[in-house]
Amino acid sequence: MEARTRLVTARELSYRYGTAETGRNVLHNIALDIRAGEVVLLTGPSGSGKTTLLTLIGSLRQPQQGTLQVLGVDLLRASPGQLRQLRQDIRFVYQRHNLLHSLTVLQNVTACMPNTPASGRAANRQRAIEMLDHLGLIEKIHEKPEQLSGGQQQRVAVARALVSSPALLLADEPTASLDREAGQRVARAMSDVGRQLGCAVLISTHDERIFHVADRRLHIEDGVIAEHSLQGP
Amino acid sequence: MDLLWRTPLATLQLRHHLGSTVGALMGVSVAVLLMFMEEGFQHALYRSAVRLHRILAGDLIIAERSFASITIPSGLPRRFAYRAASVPGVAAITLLYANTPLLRNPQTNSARPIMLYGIDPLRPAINPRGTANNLALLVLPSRALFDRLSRASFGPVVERAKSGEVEAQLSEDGNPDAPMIRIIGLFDLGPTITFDGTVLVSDLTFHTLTGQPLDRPTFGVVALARGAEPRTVKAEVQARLGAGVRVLTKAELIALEIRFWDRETPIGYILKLGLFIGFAVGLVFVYQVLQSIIGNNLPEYAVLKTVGYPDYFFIIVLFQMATVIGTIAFIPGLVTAELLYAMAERMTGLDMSLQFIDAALILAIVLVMCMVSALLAARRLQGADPISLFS
Repeated sequence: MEARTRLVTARELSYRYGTAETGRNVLHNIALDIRAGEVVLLTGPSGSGKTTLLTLIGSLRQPQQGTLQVLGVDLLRASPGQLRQLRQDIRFVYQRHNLLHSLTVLQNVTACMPNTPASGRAANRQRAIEMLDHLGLIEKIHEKPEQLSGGQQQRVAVARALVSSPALLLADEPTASLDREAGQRVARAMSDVGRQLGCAVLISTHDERIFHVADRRLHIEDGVIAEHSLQGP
Repeated sequence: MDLLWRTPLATLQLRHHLGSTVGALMGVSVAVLLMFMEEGFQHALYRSAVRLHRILAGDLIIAERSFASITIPSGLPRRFAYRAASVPGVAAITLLYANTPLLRNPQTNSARPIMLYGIDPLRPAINPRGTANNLALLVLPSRALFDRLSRASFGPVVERAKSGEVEAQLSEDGNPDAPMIRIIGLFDLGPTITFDGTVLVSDLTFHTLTGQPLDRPTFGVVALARGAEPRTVKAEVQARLGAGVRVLTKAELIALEIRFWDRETPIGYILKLGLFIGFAVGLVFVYQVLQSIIGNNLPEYAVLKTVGYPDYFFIIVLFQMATVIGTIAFIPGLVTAELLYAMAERMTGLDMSLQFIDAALILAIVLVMCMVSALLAARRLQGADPISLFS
C-alpha cells in the first residue's frame, strides 16, 4: 500500500559522471518521496543535477549508488524486461515538443497510446480526442504541428504524454521556450490533468511563473536536494 | 504498431519531405533506367550473337575441341563430321563455314566487317527466312544473298538488291582489287553488336572468297532421324568421334556462344559494370534521402523509443520508405527504358525487348538495393537517444 502511495522513493542516491579520478559527483545522497496525484517542482541552477535526477527516475539511466524505487521497481536491480514494462507507465514532456511533423495532432497523440486490438482503436481515438478537447485543442486535431503556436504544440505534447494515463509524468523545462500565458496554460494543463488521473507530476524548471501550479518544490543545488517554499527562488 | 500500417509513418514522412523524396525518386529512376539499358544491351548482345545458331538445320553440332564462338575462326576436320553420319539416329550431316571479311560500301568506298556464312545451297546447314526461293541460285559462282536487316553502313545494298542484282566486294583485308560478288537476293537474319550485317554464299564461293579450305568447316550440323533422342545420339556421336571434337546440342551451342560474349569479351564485363553502377547510384540516392529523414526526426524517434517503440520498428519504417521509393521510381524507369529500347532497336536493328521475367529481376535488384540503403541508413538511428531530449 505504501509503495503504491509513494510512486518514487530515493534514499542515499548518488550519481557520478566519468571515472573516479577525473569524474564529477552530480548527486549526493538524495532522499525524496513523490506520491500519486502530487505535482512537484524540481528547481535549481543549471548543472545542479536536475536533469540527471529526472532521467534516473525515468529509468533512462542506471542508478549507481543508493536506492531508487519507481512504481515499486527497484531500479538498481531491475531486469531489462522490468524496465521496459515500467516505462509504459512513465511519460515525458520536454522543452521542445518533439512532435512528428508528418503526423496530424491527433495522430501524434494516438501514436503514443498503448497497442490495442482493432476493437480498441476507436476507443483510443475517442480518448485522444477528449484529451485534446480538455486541453483546448479540439479545433486543431487534424492540423500538422507546424500550423500551431509554440504553446499549442507544447499542449499537444502534454496530451500525448497524459493520454495513456501514466502513473508518473516527468517534465523537463516544459515552459522554457513559451511566453507567460502559454507557459502557464501548459503548466496548468499538466497539473490539472495529472491530478485528475492520480498521476504524480515532477517538473524540472527555472520558471517561477509556474510555481503556483505545484504542491511542493524540491530545490537541488550542487547535487544536494532540499524542500523549498513555493513562494520564491 | 498503427504507425506501420494504419497511419503509415513511412509514406507520411516521405510526403512531408517531398523535395528530398522527389529528388530520390528521380535519382533512383535514373539508376533503374541505367540498369534496364544495361539489361537491354545485354539482351541485344546475347540474342543477336545466337541468331544464326537458332536457325541451324539440325539438333546437334560437331565443332573443333577449342570452339568458343562462331566469330572466332576455327576449323573442324571434315572427316569427323562424315564419320558421325554412320551413328544410329543421325539422319543427315551438313556443314557450315563462317568468316568475317570486309564488305566495301559502293557509295563511300569504305570497307566494314561483315559476317560471311558458306553453306551447301542444296543441303543447307541453316534454314534462313525470307530467301524467296533464291537459296538454290547460290550454286552459281560468286552469287550471294544479303541480310535484309543489315544496318545501312554498307550503303544502299538492300534497296538495290530489291530491284535487281547488285555487285559488292568482299575480301579479307578490304582490298579494292578483290573479286566482285553478285548479290542476287535477300534473306532475314539481323545484325549483331559487332557485325552490321551478314552475307550468305555457297561453300565453293566461300572458299573462293576466303581461301578457307573446304575440308575445314566451322562446324557440322547433325539432323536427327525422327524419334531419335538428342542426348543419346549426342553421347554416341561423341564416343564415336573421340575427345578431339566437341559435340553439342543446339541449346549447349547457344549457351556456349552467350558464355563467350559474357565472360570472354570486354563488352560482357562493361555491361555488368553498368548494372553495378546503376545499383550503386540508386543506393546512394535512397541512402541520402533516408539519412536526411532520420536526421530531421531523431528527437521524434527518441520520443517514440521512450514510449516503448522497439528498435526494429524504426528499421521496418526505413524498409518501408526504401521500398516505396524503389517501387515508385521503378515505373518511370521502366517506361523510359521501353521508349529508349524502341528507339535503339530502330537505329541498330538489335532486339532489346524485355520479357516479364527481366523486369521482375530488375525490380528485385532495385528492392535489394533499397534494403541495403535502409540497412546502411539504420546506423544513424543510434543517435535517437532518449537522454538527448533533455535540456
